[in-house]
Amino acid sequence: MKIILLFFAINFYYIAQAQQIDFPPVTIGTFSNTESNPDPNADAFVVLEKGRTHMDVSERDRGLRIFHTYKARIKILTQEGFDEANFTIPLYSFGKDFEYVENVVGKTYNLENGRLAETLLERKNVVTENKSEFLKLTKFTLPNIKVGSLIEIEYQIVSPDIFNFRSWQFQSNLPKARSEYNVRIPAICNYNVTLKGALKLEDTKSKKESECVVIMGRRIDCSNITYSMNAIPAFKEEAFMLAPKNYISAINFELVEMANPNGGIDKYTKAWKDVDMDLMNERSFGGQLKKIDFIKDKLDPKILEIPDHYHRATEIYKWINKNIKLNNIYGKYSQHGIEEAFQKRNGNVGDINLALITAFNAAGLEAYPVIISTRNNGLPHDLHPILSDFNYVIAAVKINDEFTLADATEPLVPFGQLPLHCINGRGRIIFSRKSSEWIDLTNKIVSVTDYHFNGKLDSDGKLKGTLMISNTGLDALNKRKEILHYPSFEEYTEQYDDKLTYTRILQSSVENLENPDQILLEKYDIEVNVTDQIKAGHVQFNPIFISRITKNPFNLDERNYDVDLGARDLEKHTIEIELPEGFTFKQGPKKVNLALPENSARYYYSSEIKDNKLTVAQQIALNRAIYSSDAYFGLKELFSRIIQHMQIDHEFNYQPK
Amino acid sequence: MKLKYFYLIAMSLSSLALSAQDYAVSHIPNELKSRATAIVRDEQTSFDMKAENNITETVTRAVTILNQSGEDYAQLTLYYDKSKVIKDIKGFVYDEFGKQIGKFNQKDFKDYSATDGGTMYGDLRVKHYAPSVTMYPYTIVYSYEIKHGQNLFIPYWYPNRNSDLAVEKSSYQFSCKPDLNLRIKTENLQQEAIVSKDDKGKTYTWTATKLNARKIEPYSPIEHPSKMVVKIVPETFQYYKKRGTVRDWKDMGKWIHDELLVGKQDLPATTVEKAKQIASQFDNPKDKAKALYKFMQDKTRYISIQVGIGGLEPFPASYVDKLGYGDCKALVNYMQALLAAVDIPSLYCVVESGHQKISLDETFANAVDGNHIILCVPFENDTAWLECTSNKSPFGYLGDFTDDRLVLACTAEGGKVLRTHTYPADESLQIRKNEFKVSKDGSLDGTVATSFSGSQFENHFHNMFNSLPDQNKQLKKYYDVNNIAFNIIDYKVNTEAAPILVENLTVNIRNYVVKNGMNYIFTPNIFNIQRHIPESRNRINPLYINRGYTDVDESEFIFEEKLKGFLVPINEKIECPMGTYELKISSEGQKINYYRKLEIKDGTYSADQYQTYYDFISKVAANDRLRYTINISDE
Repeated sequence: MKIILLFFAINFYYIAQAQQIDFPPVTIGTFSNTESNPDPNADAFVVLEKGRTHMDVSERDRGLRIFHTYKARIKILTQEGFDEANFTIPLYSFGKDFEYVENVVGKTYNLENGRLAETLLERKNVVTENKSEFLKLTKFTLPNIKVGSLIEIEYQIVSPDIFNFRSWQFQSNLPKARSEYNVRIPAICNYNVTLKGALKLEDTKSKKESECVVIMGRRIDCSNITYSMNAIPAFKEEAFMLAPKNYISAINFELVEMANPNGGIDKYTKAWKDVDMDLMNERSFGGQLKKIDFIKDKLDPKILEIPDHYHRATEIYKWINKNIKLNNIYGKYSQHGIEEAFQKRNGNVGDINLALITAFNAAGLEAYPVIISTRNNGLPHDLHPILSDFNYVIAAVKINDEFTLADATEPLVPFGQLPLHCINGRGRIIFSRKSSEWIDLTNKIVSVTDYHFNGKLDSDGKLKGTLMISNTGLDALNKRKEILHYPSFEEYTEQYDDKLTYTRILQSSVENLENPDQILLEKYDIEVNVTDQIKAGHVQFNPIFISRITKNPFNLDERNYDVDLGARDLEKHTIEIELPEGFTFKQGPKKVNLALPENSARYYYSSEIKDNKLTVAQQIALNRAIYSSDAYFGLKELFSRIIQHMQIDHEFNYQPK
Repeated sequence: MKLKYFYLIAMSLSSLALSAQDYAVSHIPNELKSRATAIVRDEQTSFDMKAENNITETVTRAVTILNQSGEDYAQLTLYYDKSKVIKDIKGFVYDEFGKQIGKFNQKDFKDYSATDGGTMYGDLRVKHYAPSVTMYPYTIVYSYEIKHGQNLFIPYWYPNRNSDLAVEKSSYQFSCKPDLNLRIKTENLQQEAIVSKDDKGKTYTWTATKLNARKIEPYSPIEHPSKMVVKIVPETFQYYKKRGTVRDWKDMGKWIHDELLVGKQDLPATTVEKAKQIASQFDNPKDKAKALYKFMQDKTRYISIQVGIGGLEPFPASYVDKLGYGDCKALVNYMQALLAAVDIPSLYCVVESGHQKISLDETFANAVDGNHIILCVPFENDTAWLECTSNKSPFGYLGDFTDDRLVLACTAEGGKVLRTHTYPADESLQIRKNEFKVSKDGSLDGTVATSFSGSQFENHFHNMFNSLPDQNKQLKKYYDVNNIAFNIIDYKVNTEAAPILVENLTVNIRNYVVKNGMNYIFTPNIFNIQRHIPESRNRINPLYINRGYTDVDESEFIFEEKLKGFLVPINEKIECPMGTYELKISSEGQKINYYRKLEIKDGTYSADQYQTYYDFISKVAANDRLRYTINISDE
């Protein structure tokens, strides 16, 4: 085997050309100036950042390339900001071609004895790591970093990625005083340009530039456009949010069409109707959906005879689930093809869900593919079709005039439910006979955790009885995964018992652990120490002995983005306790029914004593999967009230008879 | 440093008998299945050392994966660097009945760099393969060969390293020339090595059979007591063209000093002058060292660099001086050079860093132990230990990253095994004083003043350097109380003696005391509530408490409302060998006083003492959650 470690050998640095981007000179005056810093709390900030991108023929690569030059000046304000002097430039592969970086220049300015001192980054300290087949990382760090240092870096990336030109992120983890991006797009290309994020452009300047580039022997004019933003805040991630890339302010390009040397025009980004047609004509997409006969031969005829459509669909879903396992590769296209996937018994997301759709159709059910972007992949663009935004495919099957969405890649997810990674805005349902449409990716199944206890309080202060925990929806999926993480349910019980305080599990059982169509039901015979030895006089305890809320999940003072939980959520407690003879109720928590506007969230608590039996019912319902950032504070207050309410015990007088 | 990766792959190789065996799951003895997620059916690791720079490691291994939770054991993760070549990987997958359902070879492996995101420069790589079988159980059988170009790091044998992996049979073999001196250390083996010897060579073979999976018990010692291990290091070794002969730690320290450190302290003359000038402002050596440490902290920063000879050799002082950065080795070497410039001797020390106190193996000199470098500066009356990768650590403060463990000091006279600074429980303090006014609606307004020292010094230290919004966010994690808000946040470090962090907060907690009709429901312990620890029945392992500490929490509450009656005063003391708890609560008019002290003593206690500790912590936890119902006076 040949291992070639090219760590230090792979950089083909040309002699740095004259600086490509002009910055105002660094002087003692500008060195110390931090007036433009948009955030006084920052550890470092970008004083000025400029990017410049154009398309040209690269002689080295013998083809059209995107040339992107980046230059930035950063002021280090604290020791915590030292890491901002470390740079990692990712370089991706496109087929056989890799992006590469050239002309890395780095400088550190420090004020030493009243004079500006400059230290240069040495070329040998720029290294490129072959991270994987698809990714290289060029890394460097600047020398002599101190509090107050001003650093400047510049480099050029040459990329074969003509389709995306070069995206520009105005927003990053650092605040920026000014960020400016200049593109020179040759007139043979037409790009869709989109601005993402909440921030507004300060300015857009565009002009025509004559004969700016020679491509295929033709002198071509360019659009020369400069976008800029000032005083850009740093991007900060928050809990319960979608992928950050949905919110970061950035400018993106997608190639719509490009003139070819033969005088024709190649279309890249199309209208949805063109995309629909391409997908249906694609062997690894539409081609798989035609394999109805192949599937029909394999399907158990008994399934075809099931009269109820929902039931029939469920059986088909389970059949696919059992026959093709996921190889952990995402994709909207089939990797092996349905036949091979059946034969190997494994395949990617495309193989499995395209097989599912085909099987639905084979069984006389109307079903279509829905292409989606998973939660980590960001929301798909909604103005025009950008096929590369979509990294996954699921099925939509029409039952009783309503679409049910299904993903058969995870055997622990029942038919009718989507795993969390599929819940991300909207997907595109591809009809073959009419134009595709957007479809909401939501879970109809609510996440429910239900605690039901029925038992007896003994005079030793112990509560003895049966606790039943049932789960549905995403809660059930998570619980199933957690339990199956242990070699057996006994071992799961053992550690659960260790974790529960004041509680001893005497016996346990679980139902439907690997049968996600049914409610997951755990049953525990338990003994709980809720209070000390009961003596005549005063006795108090809190019957919500399990999953009592004591910490507020929404405890921050500021919220900028939507709160996205992935599914509606309901937690229920029903506690029934037979009290010892001689108990009389003194006081306890009042009945409570709190709701946020439009019933978007609700807390309900009631307690009742009848025939010496205490019954407590509690429900915490989060009735939305997504809350606006303003609603954060409503949730915060609601949980605050719940926590206060949970502190009130039930108090009794005890008179032994 | 990244030495650890080398023995992670201590699996094995040997003669191939892959096809002849029957891997049906029904052949596995039942008792091996208990608590196991996977079972090693047969594994053979053998080393054939032809020369110091030519060792062939051959591994064959058959593992049955019982269920999804054992999936990790089906993956092959082989690390390599410039001193290793991996070849001839091949393998097969069998179903439950021993029928072959798949095969793989080197082409199926992904190859990527194993440098983590925090590392700037590194040259470790990994080959990785994960079979995609999802019908359990199944068996994966494979073999591969590794050529090692050095013999300082020979992968150890740990047959029962993983608690959830049972072993049917495992063997480990080492062959070399007959006259070669080997240093071998073994622990807890079922049987001694079988040794065969002739003119051409000698071979040691160790075998272990029927090792059951074990339950993981909380608060267990760092190494489980029955852990089996074989460690082999040839007396004379070669490593990246450096040769050495090591019999003990003295030799090892000498070798590191002579081969890796000598000549690295090439400070430029200007910096030597600068060091002398800084030191000349002070009389005693400790103050001089302190000033130079400050100079080093201001001038340099830590960058993780893991290249060169296995990450062992520091960059020279001139390099750090010029660039202003370095890794732990380079920064310690630089600091040592600065001290040497003013004739203060200091010791370059190899340590195993981490919250767990892991000492180097005192009885067996080796290069695997240790993953970090610190500097020891002996003074006449005391010794200062310096962590050189931090820009913030006070002079002489190690913290829980490297405290209280055996380290190797490398000097021209040879290695010395030393123990780093220890923070006893009664010096690792968190002392908190709260003063609150309780308004009529039950809201608290007041101050929280806390001082942290000893191993607790760093509890909130990092928050001192955050921006105000981040400090606020972080405090909400430290003091996770519903409706809490921080109005004034102030940190100070006092370094007159041992460093103390003082945190002063002005705090408001809306509706902390819950008003329920004419009652208040009041929990006097707001911030320091002892967590429960898990039960541990039928315990096998001793109880191990890694680090001791003492917390004192004192609070005064003044209620705006008049209260009816008074609280039944509490004055309680609970003691056990592992700790002491004191609780005092009293009231007087509208004032309630609260005092809590918890001391936990580190150490190792017998397995049956776990129940004592559990009972103690349960009582503490219950007392920490005491709630009062107080009647509001109707006057």
